[in-house]
Amino acid sequence: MKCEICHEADAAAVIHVKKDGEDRELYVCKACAARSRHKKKDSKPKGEGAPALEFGDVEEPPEFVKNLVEATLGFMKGVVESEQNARTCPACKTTWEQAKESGHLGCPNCWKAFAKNIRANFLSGQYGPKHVGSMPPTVTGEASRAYLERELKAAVAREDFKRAAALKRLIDALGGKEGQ
Amino acid sequence: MSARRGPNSQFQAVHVVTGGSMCLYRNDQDRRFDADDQHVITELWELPSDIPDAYTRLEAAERRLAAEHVFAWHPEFGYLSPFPDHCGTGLHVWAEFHLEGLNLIGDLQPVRAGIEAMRMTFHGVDADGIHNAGHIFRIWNNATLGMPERKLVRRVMRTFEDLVTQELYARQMLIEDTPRIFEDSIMRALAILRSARLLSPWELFDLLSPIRLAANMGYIAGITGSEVISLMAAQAKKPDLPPPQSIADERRRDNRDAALADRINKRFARVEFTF
Repeated sequence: MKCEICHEADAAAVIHVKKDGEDRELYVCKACAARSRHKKKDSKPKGEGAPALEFGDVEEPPEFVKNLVEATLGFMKGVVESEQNARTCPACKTTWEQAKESGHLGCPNCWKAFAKNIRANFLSGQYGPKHVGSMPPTVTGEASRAYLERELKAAVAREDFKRAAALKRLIDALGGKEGQ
Repeated sequence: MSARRGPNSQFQAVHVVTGGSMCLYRNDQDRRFDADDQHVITELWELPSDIPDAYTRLEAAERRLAAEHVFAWHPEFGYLSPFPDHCGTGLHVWAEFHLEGLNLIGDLQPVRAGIEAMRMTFHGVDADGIHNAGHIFRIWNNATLGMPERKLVRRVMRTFEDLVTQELYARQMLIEDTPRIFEDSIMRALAILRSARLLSPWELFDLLSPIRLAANMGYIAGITGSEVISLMAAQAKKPDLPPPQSIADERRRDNRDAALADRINKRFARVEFTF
């Protein structure tokens, strides 16, 4: 069947037109169907209901939309990269993936670096979310003198006399018996 | 549930709990974590009533250690170890239990589920820890974060006491309500021990379990409970041979099993069940 508009090409679509107040159905070729759609779009006043989108109808987005999309994508990329950096211990360079796979952390600093992941993945079976109980004497202050004396010895051994003098002043400030 | 304790229940309780230890893992602040680089303090005790005393000794030992090391510490996670699920106090308390009575009356699984619900690990004692050889189980607290040491010790202690009571109750029930099951398990084990021609160490370990139960309850003549325990311990220490790759390997394994069976046949020839 030939197109009812151009009478040349074969009909491939059906369009509805209004002629003399009466709805008519026309069998048309692809080119005439597209032309008819464009005419309808141009004649329709803006905001009166958007035409149904079809393949090939998409227009280029405005420049500000493009910029907005690019800025958002850039921001997301930055977030992902910073998250990946946070997944590496700065002290021993162990990654969270390595730690998770082996079930073994690299150094005490890993606990700080991966705190969020450890909380989410490993602490569900514990009695509580936070440590309760004894604390190391260096934290409570009980063994701070012993710690400082050891540090002093180490500083003297490596001939770091500036640090050794500072440590000696701290030990003297603590007072008490020697070796406690 | 109140346990019906027999006249020798205290004696039995000693044999139900075969030993244990408590460990505190303390890592050095300035070092990288290494599996062998842990400062571990271990104290042993013989009876469950000694646990609080053992912890007091453990605390003193830790104080001495603290004078030499700065422990890896985090205000939220407590004492740090290389293992992300192991932090907090780092205190593990464990003991080994012989639960043959619960096994024979069929209550082992509910008891196991109850213990595991209390965040404790229930582990069969075997070369790989998967099989429940001899119905001896090692039980310890799995969680170490969120509970102070003294409270944890009290809690573990209470669990251990409850478990001993359950096992003693099961043993009492076994001889009062289901004596046939009790007799059958002992006689069956004795028959194999007297006449088997091949016995692997772990099979022997399994067979000695009901004999140990009967010996502890005073129903075996010719062998003492402590002798059965030392026989079991000797089997557990033997290294497992690799799976046989050749006929020569299989022959070596058979020779070992035949020698063990021969020795056991002779030892159990004069052992009598006196129920």
